[in-house]
Amino acid sequence: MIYRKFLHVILILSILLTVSGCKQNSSNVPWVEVNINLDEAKTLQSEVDNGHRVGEIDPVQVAHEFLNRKLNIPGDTKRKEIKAGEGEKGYRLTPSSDGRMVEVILFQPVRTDSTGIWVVKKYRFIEGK
Amino acid sequence: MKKVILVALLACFTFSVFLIGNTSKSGGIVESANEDPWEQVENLNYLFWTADEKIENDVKKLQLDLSLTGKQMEKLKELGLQEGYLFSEGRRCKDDAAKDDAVTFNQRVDETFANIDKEVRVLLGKNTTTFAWWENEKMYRLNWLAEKEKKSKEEIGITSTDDRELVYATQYNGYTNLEIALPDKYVKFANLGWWDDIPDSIEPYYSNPPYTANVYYETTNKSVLNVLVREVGPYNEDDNYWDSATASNPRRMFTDLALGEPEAEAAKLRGYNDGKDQFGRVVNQPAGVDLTEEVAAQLRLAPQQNDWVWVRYSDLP
Repeated sequence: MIYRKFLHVILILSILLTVSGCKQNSSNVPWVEVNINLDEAKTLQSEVDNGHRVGEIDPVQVAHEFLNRKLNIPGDTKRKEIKAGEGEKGYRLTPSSDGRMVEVILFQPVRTDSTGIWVVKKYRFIEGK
Repeated sequence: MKKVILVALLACFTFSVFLIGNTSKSGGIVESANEDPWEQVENLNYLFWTADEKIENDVKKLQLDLSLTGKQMEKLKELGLQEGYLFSEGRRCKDDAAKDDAVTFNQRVDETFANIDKEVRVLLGKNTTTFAWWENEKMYRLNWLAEKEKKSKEEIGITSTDDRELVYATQYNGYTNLEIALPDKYVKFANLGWWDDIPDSIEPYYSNPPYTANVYYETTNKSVLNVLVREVGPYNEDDNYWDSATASNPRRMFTDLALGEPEAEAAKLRGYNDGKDQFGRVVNQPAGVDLTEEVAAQLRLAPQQNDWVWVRYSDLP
């Protein structure tokens, strides 16, 4: 009987530790800020305004491109929207190629409307690396 | 009796005044200096940066008709180039959040072109009001396109138009040197393996990447084969115009347009969708494909230069 109770306590403790450990893992990982060149952003906005690079006004595509090109993680990626600041978009991206999970926060550096381009402001790996 | 005659005379007079008023509105090409012969759209860019033979002759005619110097022509060409780069001058519009974004965007575009128009007026002086090139070009181009398509259909074998279209090609800065952009986002998604973002109902049609296209430039008889579709655009992202509305992978938007007619082309040349793209933005080029500078160079198009090219879509979903 005592042995059973002891097992239960151990089990509950393990669950609590795992949950709190995960939380800590996700929220304590520091963000990596991305250098934004405003002149380059304006040039890109100008291209988009002239009908080119339409993908730049879609935050989802910009997030995927960032993963593909900047972090060299190509291919299919599961995406979940996460909380972000005002005027920002946030995604948790889980590439199918490996166990890494990446969170990205995007904002619009030139115009904050639906015709404005998005860029990744910061990112972090929250699992593995 | 007198009353009847008086009423009849009055009616005739009113009718004549109405007629004269209407004739003076529609009869002249451009009535006042306030009306814009360039229509405040990107026609200077189209005029000076399209490699087409007819348009090049139009430029020569413009110079002769308006007695413009070489320096003035250079300035016009430069303004044409500026038209393609000035849109982002607009302010941040956080305060305008309640307004429709595209309306605000179009207002900014208008402001930009109004400034260019001012410069054109200063440059051309009195001649500003005598040049109405764009209306003629639109009519000519629509007929020209129809003729070309008809002729191509009459040809036998590999030049059948079943899977190729004559579309206006513009240039853009790509992710890679050798790529093109077409207005179907799912082609790009499939090529990059972003399956999670392609709806389940559509995914089966896009299951065989990589998707490429062949581009052929008749003027120079040069082709670029199997170019990867790496980006979305020009202008739209759901305009798979190489698919008909009843195809197995049906055209997702603008299904009333003819097979092979890009929405941006219809918007620019025929005022379709009020001359706007799927986002409500004013369309300034009748573009159906975007080429990187490298692809354009292989076709013998100079940097910034645009023109009508054949694109073979047989490989696309």
